Amino acid sequence: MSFINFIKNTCSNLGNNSKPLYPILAISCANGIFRPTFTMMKKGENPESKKYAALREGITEVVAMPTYFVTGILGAKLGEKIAAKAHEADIAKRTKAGEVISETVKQEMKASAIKKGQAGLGLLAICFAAGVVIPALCSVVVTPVMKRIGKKPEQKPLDIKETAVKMPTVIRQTTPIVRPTFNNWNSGMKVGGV
Amino acid sequence: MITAISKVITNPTVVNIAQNADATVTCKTTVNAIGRPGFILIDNHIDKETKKFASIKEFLYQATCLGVYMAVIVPIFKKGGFKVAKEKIFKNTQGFEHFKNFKEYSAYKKIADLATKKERLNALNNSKNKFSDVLTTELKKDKPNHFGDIKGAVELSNITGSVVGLAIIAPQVSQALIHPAMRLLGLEKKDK
Repeated sequence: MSFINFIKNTCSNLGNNSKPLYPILAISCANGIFRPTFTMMKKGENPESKKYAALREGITEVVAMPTYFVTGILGAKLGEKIAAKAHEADIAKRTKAGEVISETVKQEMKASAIKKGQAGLGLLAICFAAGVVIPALCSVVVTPVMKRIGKKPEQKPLDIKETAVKMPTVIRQTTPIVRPTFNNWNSGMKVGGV
Repeated sequence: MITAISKVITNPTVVNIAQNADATVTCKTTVNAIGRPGFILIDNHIDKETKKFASIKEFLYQATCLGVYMAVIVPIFKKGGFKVAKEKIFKNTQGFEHFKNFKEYSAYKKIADLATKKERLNALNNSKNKFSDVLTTELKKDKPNHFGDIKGAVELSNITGSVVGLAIIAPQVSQALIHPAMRLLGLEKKDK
């Protein structure tokens, strides 16, 4: 019964205030758990490659989650400020033109504009994070972290063929060995010398 | 300047996408499919051939995820979520009693979300859907009921679908599709 109530409350909250950040964070969190798990479960692959790939995926999601959170929140805050300022400018323009707007209507319009601004810029910020900030952060963070952990980068299958060890061409020395010549065989100390 | 930026961020299309979990996820996955391969291509830490291989693999992965998500997950979870919420959780209360299925609710929401009463009345007259008297009366009001609990139930099933689809099902499907595609492009050799 309490579970049903929990679901009902969640539905009610989501219905009244749905933010783009919620599904993105949920997916990022699930990706951080499942992607490395599935990679480690793959059969017939080199264990070291699996560990490398799983760790890389894990680190990517560890970078992604807080980035989505921060950009989503910052985007929503900025959106709120921009929408509020634009609303004030719009009201001032209308009042100057002679339109009479009651205080209640003004407040309702402001609340609606703020909600739209939060949602709109929140979404744009998340898209910016997904397309630019996270890939950039990952290319800066992941490779050094992997190097520090001591994992070698994954090589593509064709690399193995292309970079296969080639036998070096050995240049054989053809100069004949010259027997040393001695000028005076009779010189030097001799045992039992004559 | 502020007014122009505000017009962009409060644009009804942008706001609609932001307030729909499935649209947000679709948008984000599309951006991922462009951004991630792009950043792999401009990474200076890896050689040219590996960059090409990794970026194509990442693009194929994200594109498959998006395809699976849009084709299978969204329709199943939206319709299924609505049905479960109507019959099992809310038991035909909180507005669920007015709608037969998700399609009817979706058509109602489309009109109810319009900004002005004039637009709503026009849309109601041109609509192919026949709404019940209660719903027609609602749509003719200055502020129609948006049925927050129903919207929330659909959002919750969308989030669940997104998680299940993008984190569990799509990677499995893409795994099965990526390797043949990479072989077809000549970027991967066949396992012996």
